[in-house]
Amino acid sequence: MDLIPNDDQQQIIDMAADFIINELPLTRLFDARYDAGTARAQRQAMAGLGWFGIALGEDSGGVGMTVVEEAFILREIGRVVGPTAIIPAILAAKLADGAGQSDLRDAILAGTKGAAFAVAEAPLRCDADGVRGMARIYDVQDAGAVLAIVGEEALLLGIADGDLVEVPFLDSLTPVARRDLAGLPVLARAPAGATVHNGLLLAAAYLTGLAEGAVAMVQEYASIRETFGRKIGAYQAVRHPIAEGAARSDHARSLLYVAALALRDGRDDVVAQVSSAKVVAHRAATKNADINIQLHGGIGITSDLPAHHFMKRALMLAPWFGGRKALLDTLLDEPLLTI
Amino acid sequence: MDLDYTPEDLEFRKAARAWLADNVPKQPRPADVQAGAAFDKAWQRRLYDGGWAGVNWPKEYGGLGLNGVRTLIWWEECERARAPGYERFTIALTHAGPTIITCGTQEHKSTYLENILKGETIWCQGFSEPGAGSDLAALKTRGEIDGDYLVVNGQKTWTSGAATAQFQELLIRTEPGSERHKGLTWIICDMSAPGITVQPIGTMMGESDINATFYDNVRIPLKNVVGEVGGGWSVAMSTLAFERGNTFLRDQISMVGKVERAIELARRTITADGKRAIDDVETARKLADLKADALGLRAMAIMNVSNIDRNGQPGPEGSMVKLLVSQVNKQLMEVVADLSGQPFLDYDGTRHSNEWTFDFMWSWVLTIAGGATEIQKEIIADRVLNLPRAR
Repeated sequence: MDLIPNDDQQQIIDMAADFIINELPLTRLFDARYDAGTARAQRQAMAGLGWFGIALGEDSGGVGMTVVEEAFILREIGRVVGPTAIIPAILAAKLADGAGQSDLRDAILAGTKGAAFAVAEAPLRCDADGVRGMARIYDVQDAGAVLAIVGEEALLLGIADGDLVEVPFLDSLTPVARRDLAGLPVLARAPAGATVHNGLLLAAAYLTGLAEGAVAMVQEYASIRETFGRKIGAYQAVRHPIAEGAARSDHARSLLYVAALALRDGRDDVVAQVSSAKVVAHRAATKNADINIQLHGGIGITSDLPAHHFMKRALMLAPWFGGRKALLDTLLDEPLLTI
Repeated sequence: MDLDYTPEDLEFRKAARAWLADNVPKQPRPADVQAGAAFDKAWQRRLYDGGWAGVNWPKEYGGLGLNGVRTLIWWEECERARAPGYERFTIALTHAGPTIITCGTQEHKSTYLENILKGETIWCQGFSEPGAGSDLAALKTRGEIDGDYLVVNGQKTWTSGAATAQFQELLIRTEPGSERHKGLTWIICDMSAPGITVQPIGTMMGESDINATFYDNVRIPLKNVVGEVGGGWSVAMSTLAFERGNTFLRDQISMVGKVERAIELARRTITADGKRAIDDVETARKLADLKADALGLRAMAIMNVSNIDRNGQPGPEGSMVKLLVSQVNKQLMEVVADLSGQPFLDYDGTRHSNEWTFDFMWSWVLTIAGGATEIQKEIIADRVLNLPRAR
């Protein structure tokens, strides 16, 4: 039993952190707008590192690692409010691979195509005539397919040019469409469990990163900003919320690692672990985003500072793979692993 | 990274489970102070006789020298068997004993350590004073050297177990005029020495084992000083990492079981509206939320023991655990109070009359004792985050 990354894993984490510093520094978000060209270049750079196929077998064009390494990378991306498009891309590549859709899989792995993610606005249905129901569709840029969880199934839906029309959206760094899924052909289908559990883990990892990134940002500010002749980090009204935020981050991180191992190893308590991981990480991300804005004072609510992006991204990810209420309702009855 | 136990770990678990099944007392711990202490001594003796005393004490001092993972397994099994906790042996096993192991002389070690493991000597802690609780370095109780003795005068407070303890780890000011962390001495005080008066302090729980302790020209042999005269602060702090790593491990692990018991309670409690408490969506979701928190605390425990086994000491999570455990516990107690309704108020001043009600009140002990929540945040801000300081 060991919850500390080994040397190889640490190398993955360091490599991801390195990439983030160079390609996705937080400073890119100062007064930022969504830019399609930049987003495309980022996707292709991540594809170059193999990030969309980290846990996919080498025979399938992937890197042959596990969901644990996926979680490491998503956590690093979350720290800087990086693109969430990697979440549906990772899951869609696996589904495409399982369904023998190798062209789609390879396009996603290569970063020439992305994958979008449909989150239901009302119950989605799927029958012989196809899928129906309204959904928000996230990360639509260059999407080669839409991932949707419909009942007990995970589906990949095909799209043609013009199928996804972007709508104005709070999180301006994420291109989002909204439509009825009717008319989109089903390219691949699989029992939902594996995709949902994987999705919960990826979302939890991203949210853990958000929680940590928000604390890091306000921690830095509290160490330099002075009021009343003193660094604000010396005031208990400031340092205590930051300390709580750091504890929340650590709590989320430990749980994330356990959940990742539970999923990797197919343990009996995987549902309890991945559900808990997302619930705890989402709460940490939300509360830490709050203190990051609040303790910055006036500058915290400006678009000059990226603090608001942490909050908006946490809000956006709330319903992904199950919102808090649904997860809690599942968790209540979920048996704990008896040893 | 893995969550697997080695075959030897599993053997250890099996042995611990079997022993606990045969040996955990059937009767609950008595509420009475003297009877409670006798119960704790008997349990500690039973652990000793069974070869389970001092699970994480080094082998050379009679402990089992368990690594982090095995310690975790031990506490998991104790929780599963609902075995008694450290109770009155908390100070001896998690503070005074480890301090003597770290800083004591050979004579200290041979005189005191085995008797702790055998359950013969209860220790209490003489640190806090009426004017020095969270701000421990403000303590004033003084000791003056008189030949081979230190003569102690002053007052300590919140002394849990003072009425039943044989010994006390006592922190006093031995350099007149010294301030803060300087001029302090850590000394072993025999509680039967003339001049010591123990006065019980009533508590919100009713049953109580905390006290005010008064020292009137109490003569303590100088050979009882652990470390140097004047070097008491560093002696008192020497076991901090040990404490952080271990003292709250059982609480962390217990929380998973405690939340499950609260969920069970909610399933069988019929509220005033005639419905099961668990059928109230707000109650159910709060409990599920706390279940997630408890799983997170268990994950932190695994992170903690991983750090101990890998690096010999807990990582930053060590200082965050107490903050989180005590807060999650308090939230859980609020939910239990809410779902229980009026029967929650049935309480006769002892924990046995209503364990949940006792635990509800005890939740403030957990957020205050052993470094209050506010102090834990200071520790995190100072030592983990390196934030600017005002002090």
